[in-house]
Amino acid sequence: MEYNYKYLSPQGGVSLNVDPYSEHERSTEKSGSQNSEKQGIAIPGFAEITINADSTEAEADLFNPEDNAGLYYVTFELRLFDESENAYETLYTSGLVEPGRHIYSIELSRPLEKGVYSAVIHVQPYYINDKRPTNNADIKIKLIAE
Amino acid sequence: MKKILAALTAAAALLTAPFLTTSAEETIDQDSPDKSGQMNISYNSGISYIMTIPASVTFTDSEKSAERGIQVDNVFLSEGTKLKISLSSLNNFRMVNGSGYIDYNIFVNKSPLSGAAPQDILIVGAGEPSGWATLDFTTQLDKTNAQYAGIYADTLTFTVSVEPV
Repeated sequence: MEYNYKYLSPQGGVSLNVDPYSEHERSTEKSGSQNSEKQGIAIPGFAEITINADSTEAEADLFNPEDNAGLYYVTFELRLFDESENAYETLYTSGLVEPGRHIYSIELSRPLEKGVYSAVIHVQPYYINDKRPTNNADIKIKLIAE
Repeated sequence: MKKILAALTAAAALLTAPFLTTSAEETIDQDSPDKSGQMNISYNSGISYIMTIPASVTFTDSEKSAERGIQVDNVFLSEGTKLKISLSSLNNFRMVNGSGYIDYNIFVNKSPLSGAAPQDILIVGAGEPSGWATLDFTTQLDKTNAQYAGIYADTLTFTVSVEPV
């Protein structure tokens, strides 16, 4: 959500004729972004990811749906929930992913012991034309290390 | 003659007997006591869905309200589960610029969202292929607490989880 608050200083010397150059208020949106603002962002859904225990190399299918073509990049961040700290630890962060592209192999920041973990895939989209961030999504998943 | 016929019959049986391999460990031929086998055919369909969220909303002096949608499609869940989407605001439904802010509201089914904790906005049960909800954004553009010019902004996070019913 945005609001551009403009402060205008007062001016002297008022003409009584209609200024021929006056026009209706222009939109403050950048070209192309107004339509994309109304165009929703497709976010892929996951419920669980299975990885190899005791290894930093993992396979997954993180993808930017083709529905976002011409509109949005996305990035993915895999966050592990630490119950003792009541906080998240980031295990993996991707770069910008173009629409229609997949990431099948990821490198974790550290290996995990065998077990089932609560995790979140944080999906952050960006406008393709200027890389401004948009609203985002947190996908709660089970991270299974076996 | 009878011996020749017997030999020809055995040869014919050998040529026509089907070889069925049901797996790498089992072969059925004319000498197998049981001429039938079994094989497993399976397909593991994982949980999947596509969620479509609104990118952003820009208010102006002439546009103080907007309608956006939240939608899930191609929903494929395990029996006895549901897909739940909740919404939270980074700045507790305030557009912020430094220490200044401008309040705004989001209504879901005419009920306002409030507070810092994520609030449920859409639930889709297993067996339902899709679901949607309408989000109504409004603001009075009350600038009491907005002393300086600039862009006032907030970020929404849509949290999705698959849970037991």
